[in-house]
Parts: sequence; C-alpha cells; structure tokens
Amino acid sequence: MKCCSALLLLLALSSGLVPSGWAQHRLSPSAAGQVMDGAALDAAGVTRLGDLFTLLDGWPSYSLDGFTTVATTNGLAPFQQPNLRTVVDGIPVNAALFGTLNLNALPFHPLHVDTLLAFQHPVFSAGRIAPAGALHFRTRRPAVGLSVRGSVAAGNDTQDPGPYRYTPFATPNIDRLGPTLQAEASIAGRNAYLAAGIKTDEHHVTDALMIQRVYDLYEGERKPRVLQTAPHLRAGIRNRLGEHRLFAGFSRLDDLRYFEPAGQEIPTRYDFTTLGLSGDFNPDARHGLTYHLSLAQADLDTRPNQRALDFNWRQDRLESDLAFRTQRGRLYTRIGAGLDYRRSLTDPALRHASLLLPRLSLLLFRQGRAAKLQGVVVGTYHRPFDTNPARVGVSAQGSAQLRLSEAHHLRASLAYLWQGAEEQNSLWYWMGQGYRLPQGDVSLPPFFLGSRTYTADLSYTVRPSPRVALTLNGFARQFFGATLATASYDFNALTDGFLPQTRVLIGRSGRVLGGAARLHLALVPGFSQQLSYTFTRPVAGQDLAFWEAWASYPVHQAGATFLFAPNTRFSLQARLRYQSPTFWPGYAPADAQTGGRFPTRRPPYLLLDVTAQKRFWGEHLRANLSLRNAANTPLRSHPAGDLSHLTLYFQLEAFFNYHN
Amino acid sequence: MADRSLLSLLRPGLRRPGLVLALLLLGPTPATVAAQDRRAPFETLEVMVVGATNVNHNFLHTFWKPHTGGGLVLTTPFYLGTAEVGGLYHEYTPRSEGRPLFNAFFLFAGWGLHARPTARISWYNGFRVGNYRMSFDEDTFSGTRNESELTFALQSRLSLSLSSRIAVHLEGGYQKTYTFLRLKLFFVSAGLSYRLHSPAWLKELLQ
Repeated sequence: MKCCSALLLLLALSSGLVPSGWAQHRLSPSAAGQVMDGAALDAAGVTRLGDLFTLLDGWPSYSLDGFTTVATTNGLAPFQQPNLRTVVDGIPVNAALFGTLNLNALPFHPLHVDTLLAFQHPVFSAGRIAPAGALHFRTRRPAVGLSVRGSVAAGNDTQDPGPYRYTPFATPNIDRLGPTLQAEASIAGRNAYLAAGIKTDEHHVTDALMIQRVYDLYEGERKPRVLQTAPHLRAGIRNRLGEHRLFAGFSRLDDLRYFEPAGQEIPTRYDFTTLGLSGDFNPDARHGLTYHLSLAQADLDTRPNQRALDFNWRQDRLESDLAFRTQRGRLYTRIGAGLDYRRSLTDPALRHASLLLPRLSLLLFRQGRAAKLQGVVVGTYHRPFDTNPARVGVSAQGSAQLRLSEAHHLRASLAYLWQGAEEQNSLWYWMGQGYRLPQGDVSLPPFFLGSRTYTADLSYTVRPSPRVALTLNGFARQFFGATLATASYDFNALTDGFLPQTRVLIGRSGRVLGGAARLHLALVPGFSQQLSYTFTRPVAGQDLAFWEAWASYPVHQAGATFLFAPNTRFSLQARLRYQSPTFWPGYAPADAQTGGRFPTRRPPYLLLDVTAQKRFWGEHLRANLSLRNAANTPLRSHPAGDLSHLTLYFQLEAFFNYHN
Repeated sequence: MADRSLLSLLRPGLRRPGLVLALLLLGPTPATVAAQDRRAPFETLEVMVVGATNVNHNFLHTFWKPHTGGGLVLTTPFYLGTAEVGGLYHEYTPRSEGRPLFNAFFLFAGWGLHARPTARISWYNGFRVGNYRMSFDEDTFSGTRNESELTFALQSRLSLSLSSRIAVHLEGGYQKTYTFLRLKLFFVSAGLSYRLHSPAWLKELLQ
C-alpha cells in the first residue's frame, strides 16, 4: 500500500495541480524522479541516510571512511562539487560543507522518512532550479495519539583476526559499525502533529591504510571514531486554508573527515543547526500562497588534534521564498520571490563575507488531454564582487510530457543554468575571498567567474500492463566556464598521508552524454524486480582538467533489486549493483612512490546486499538482518579509502502508540 | 589466502559430490516444498537440546582443541519451510602455553526445508547465519576480552519421531566464521526435542 501511495504521490505531482494535504509539497507539478517510500527503506535495512545512494539507480558514490558518502547523478556534476539540493518537508535543509554534502549530517534517521523523491535532472525545487539534482524527503506523519518509535542498529565487518590474534598469523582488528540509535516521541491528531527525536551514531576507523593517517592528528584516549548526536523537532498543522510544517534540528558530528586539499583526515567538530518553515495558504481552489523559510548555521570547529589545526569556519544561511499561485482553466501560474543570504565568519575576516542573492521566479504549467507543458524562469541578482560586475543571472527550464497512448509516454526536459561563482558555495571561492585552510597547498585563479550549463533529458516510458514498466532515458549536459580543481598527491611518509598540490582552474568546458534504462516487473504476486542500467560518458575534448574531474565517475552502472514479500509481515530483498572501473589520476605520484599502495584505477565492482525483514508483535517490533557485500568483494571505492568486506547488520525497531 | 565468496561455503561439498547431490535432492524442489509442515506459521514450537562435537582438523586445531559443546535450538513453521533460532556453545583449550583458552557462542537464526521419507522420519536441510562470539580469558584489544564475527552454517538433520511430541535427532553441520583466516568447522550433533503448541502470546509476538 505504501508503495502505491508513493506512486500516487509521484503521479499527483506529475499530473498537474495538487490539492493541499499531507501527501504532497509544492514541487514542480511536472517533476519526475525516482520514488522510494518508507516501506522500501525498511525492507532494505537502511541504517544511515548515506546508505540511500546504494538503493537509488544511477547515483554513483564513493566513501573513504565508510561513513561520509559523496554522490552525484546523471552527469550533472563531478564528485568534487556535487551541490546536491536536499529538501525536508518542503524546507531546504542545506547541511553541505564547502559544496559537498554528507547526507548523514542531516538531523533525522532513515526510519523517519515516509517518501524520498530523487531527481536526476535540473528540477524546480522550492523556489529555484536545482542544477545538480535534488533529494526531497517527506517525513513520516506520526500516528494519531501518543507514539514512541525507536531503533538500534549495528554492523560487524568481517576479517577480524579472531583467535589467530594469539598466533604468528595475527592481523589488525576490524571494529564494529555503529551502534546507530534513534528515538522519537510524538503526539498527533487528525490535523496536527508534533514529534521530537534524536539519533546517535558511531563509526570506527580501523582500516590499515587509513589508521596511520588518522593517528597522525587524532588525539583521544579511545580508538578513533566518528561520533554523532542529532536531535530534531518536526511539526505540522493543517486546516481548510492550508497546511504548515516546521522542521528544526541540530547535528553534532565529531568527524575524522578526509579533506582532499589537506591530504589526510583532520579531526573536526561540525555543528549543523537548522530551523525551517514551509506551507501553503489556499483561500480558494484557484489561488494560493506557498512559502518557505530556512535558517541554518554550519560551524566547522576544532576537535582536539595533535597539531591544533583549526578550520575556524562558520556560515550562517538563510533561504526564503514566497510564491503566489493561480489557476485559470488549464493554466497554472506560480510567481515567486525569494532571498538567499549567507554570511561566512572566519579569522581573519573575508573580503566579502556576506552574500545576498534576491531571486524572482515564474512558473507556467499547462495540462492538456495528451500533453503537459511547463516552463520556469528564475532570475537571480548578483551583486558586484571582485572584478565581476553586477548582473542578473537567468536560469530556465522547460519540460513537456506527452501521452502518446494509454501505455506510451514521452517526456522531454531542457534547462539552461547560469550560476554565479558565489552561488556555488565552493571552498575555492571562499579561499579566494581570504579563507585559509589549516593545511594544504592550493593554487587559486586570480578571479572567479560564473558558469553556464545546458542540459537535455528525453525519456520514453511504456507500460504494457500495470505490472510491467520500461523507461528509456537519454541525457546530455554541456558545461561552459566551470570551475574545476586538479590535484597531484605525493606520498607523505611522515603522516602516511599525502602532500597534495591543488590547482583551481576557471573557464573549463566539456560535455557529458549518457543514457539509462529501467525495467520494473511485478509479474508474480509477492515478488517484484527492478533492473536498471546507466551509461555516463564525459566528452571533454582537449580539456584535460574536465576529463580528470570526470574520470572518477563510472561509465557503466547497473542495478537489480529483487523483493520477495509473500505477506506484510516478512520480506526478503536482494540488491545487486555493478559499476565499471574508475580512475583517480591525481594519485598517480603517490602510487608510484609507494609501489602500488594507492592504485589510480579502481576495479569494477559487483556488490550484493541481502536483507531479511520480519515484523513481530503486530506493528510493535520489526527486525532486519542484512548481509551487505554478501559476495565478499574487497571494496575500496577511493584510492586512499578503506577496504570493506562482507558485513552483517542487525536492526531492531520498536513502535508503540496510544490513543482513545 | 582467505576465501572471498559465499560460494566458497559450498567448496567442501564440491569435493563431496554425494553431499551436493543429497543437498540438491532435498533442497527446495517442488516435492520438498510440498512436503513442508502444513501447520500455520508459528503454530508449534519445537525445543531441541543438542550436544555437538567437532570432527574435522585444520589450521585452527594446530593451536586449539575444541571440546564437545551443546546448545538450545527453537524451531517453528515459517511461511515456507521452517525457521529456527538458537545458540551453541563450545570451549577451546590451547595446545600450548602462551595462548588463551576461549569460549565460543554461536547465536544464530536459520531457515530450511523438510523432506519426509516416512511418517516418522524427516530430513531437514537448511542454513544458519549469526554471530560467533569468542570470549578469551585474557584481553584481546585494549581491554576487551571478546571478539564477534559473522558465521554461516549449513545443516543437515535426520529426525525420528518417538511420539507426536518427542523426537530424536542426528545432525551434521558445516560452519564457517569470517575471520581473516576463516574458521571452518564440521560438527556432528545429536539431540532430543519436545514439540508444543505455541502459546497464544507467543504466536501474537511472532506473527
């Protein structure tokens, strides 16, 4: 049923005007993306938000430590600057640090997710066009009455020495993963709810390749580990005039994050605080107002370390949008005005520490019998800075969805995106404004420029029966004036890390082409399969920097998900993933200097995850047992990253509800 | 070099074609599926007490000697086949000084299918997955005396019903623990079980 409701949600979003209610947020009416509902996340045994990228098709990712996952999609951005947009209950929640997002830093747990919409093309998202795709989370609406929901999860990577620890054949110990704990208490009526929760997490660093690097700076009596504490509060209220939502959270991440320009893991304390509101006023069926306001503070502070390295970085963020909606006949119009404000605090102060980006947007949507047409234009005023003059950056997106027949659908989307240099919030831009990294050698350009991106997506869907759906998709991206970094990593024998030399280049151009196919089958009751293949290839021409930025992106990806759910009480899911080799040319010097410890070519991977789920005691208890990487493929997704193997995960969730 | 694949679980069997043939014949074929317990899921609960002894010798046995152990296994009809949970305990004594004694406790969940050649005899084949917790009598890493590791096991069990409730069992199992150097152990075990109708509260809990 949940799967059906998620599909209905997507259909509702893509079919035109959506009435007010809990089930939707003000997305672009013709938006189309992958949908994953809470039941799918439950069946997959997801314990961290970063795990979501392993379930979505066409989202290549890598992780150095097994905790922070960097992901991008469909050629919209290279790994070094994914700039993924995340929206929670209609509220932008931007936990990214220097343009790169650790999804786990968001202050909620996967079990709080009711529906995830993942967009793999530029999409109009909460008042702006998200250039690198977007993840829209809708959190679970609490059950009516008083409820408590909690879970505990832990994993155990294989390859421990076991009793051989006491023999000449001893090997390093591999520590556990987690525990990950979460609890949430809520009170809800039919038209209002309030929920408060917390998640805590631990992640141990024990990989032989990483541990020396980590110990170079780590200071603490306990073994090196990432620690997280993240409380949150969410609320919603609705009446005949509309619906309003609140999401607030705080995430403290005592991290051991690998900073590429620094060439090693640096202990940091990342405090992310967010408070946001979103909602709709609908005085009548044809007119309405939509709004959101999001405040956030990202504070990268010192975690005790042996050289007292301090990032000394804080950024305050405000994002707001207010839109008027109206419908005349089949034409839907949305006129919005918004504001982005960012203030970056460090010592010494930056040349231009504050940014103010006013924005106007116009969306037109028309629904006919056989076609849905949408156009969006967003203009952002960029104040003058450095040598750049003031200008209005215009981005536009248009899409058409044609119903060729009952079973055949065609969808085309074109986008033109202009992004100011300051808009991308990259580390390089802020370094250009005077920010000093505590460690690292970065060569910056004398100035930064805005970039232009053109994207085209064409997809064809055929549904010969309700149980079979095939989607074929082709896409092209053309980048002009992109800011990219190339780096060369020498081995540093003193730290077991690297001595990187990073050069930031402006005005890079290149093209990315790709295609994808997805087949969904549910021919046998209780058994469904989803097969996918994605092809992404950069066409860099003579631009070596562009090629290097994209070399670490796998050309081929394939996925297959098999779900056996004979009833609502038990399910067995298998997820098979393949990705072709990736290349990390920057690590060639370190590889040569160490005799092959950091191979620049990562081999193709075939990974299998299997999860069994069983409910107990009605809806009160749910247990998951997962075998991740069940084929026991030695997986190292980055030359300097950790090596993981077959891992056993266990998760137990409890839920209790009381109402009259 | 350590084994890299779950398929390697089958390698001992691949060197014993008869075993593979038997497992295939008794595996989830239409005949064995049809022969499954017709009781509703979790309708009954079989409590089995077993004693198990290790019968192979490999690299591990150069350093430690496993002793006969035992445990408790609970089985119940599942939606298809039979589910089981249980724990098995063994003690390993060192063969030379300087190495600690350790106790190992395998906590597992399992699933399998029955074949019933006669009304009183049943042959169960299945697998178990769980955690092998090894407790050493001295510290291992920075103050901890325990280590845990993922373990798989293949089981084949012959059961003879003495009455509608009581049965005796003879079982062979291959167990593989995913330490860096794998612990590969063959066990032979014997046991006695008592079958009861699951109490209502237990059925409600499990269903």
